[in-house]
Amino acid sequence: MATLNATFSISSTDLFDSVNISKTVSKALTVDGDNRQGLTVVKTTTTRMGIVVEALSGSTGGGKKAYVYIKNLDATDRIIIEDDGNAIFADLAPGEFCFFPSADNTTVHVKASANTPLCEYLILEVD
Amino acid sequence: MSYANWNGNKNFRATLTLESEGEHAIFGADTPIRKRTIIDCPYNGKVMQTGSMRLTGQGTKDNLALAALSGDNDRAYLYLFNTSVSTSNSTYVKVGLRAAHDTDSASGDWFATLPSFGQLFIPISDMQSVDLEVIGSSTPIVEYMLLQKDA
Repeated sequence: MATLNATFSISSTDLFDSVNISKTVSKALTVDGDNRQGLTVVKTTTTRMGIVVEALSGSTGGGKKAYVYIKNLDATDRIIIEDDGNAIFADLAPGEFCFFPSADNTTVHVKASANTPLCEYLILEVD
Repeated sequence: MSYANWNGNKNFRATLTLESEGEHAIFGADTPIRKRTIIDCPYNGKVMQTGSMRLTGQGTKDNLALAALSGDNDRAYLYLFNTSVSTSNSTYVKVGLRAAHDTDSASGDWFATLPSFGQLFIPISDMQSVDLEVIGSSTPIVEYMLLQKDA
């Protein structure tokens, strides 16, 4: 059984006028799938590109589940993320990242808003 | 457009740390993963929600946004945390996109799943709201932040 330790923190001093927030959540995530793609960087274009080498599968948590990290390394252009049905659900401004348990999708698509921004990603199939 | 009762140009800081090393390392003990990334997230929209919600139950899609997300491509920051501590793999929360605020997501519109104590952070776009639906017999409480980027 392989484990990914994920820690996410949010802090803000101006979300509310009277209360500051600071929250950290950590969890050890089990990764037993055979599709484990380590940190990778690809050059994107305005044409969608699947970033999963082998179609995601498995039955846990709704099926085809994988932990996905994507970061936009560009300083100017955005990176758009689509599911396997080409529905857009995320838009990473320069420097932004996302981390989520993908499900019910055999792949994840990325494309650039313009030009060829670099995209850093990690995909770990759960089972 | 600005909103007189909001302080403009707000930010929160998001930090993600991913580690896998030692005996149970994903790529073996000789290939550890250590990744840390930090961003400051600006938001200035009319939808600024934080809170927690007990989900209704299986078969009901709970609509997260109180008003339709808008602005450039309806972009917003979404953070979700499933507070349930159940160890059952058959209980989880489906996260789907509502293209229109007042219309449930379609069956193929869910893009993430939250296990017990699971979390996600996504700068979402192209949806006016987010659906949450529990699969299983429980009614977990989900903590959330939904912060529209543009006014």
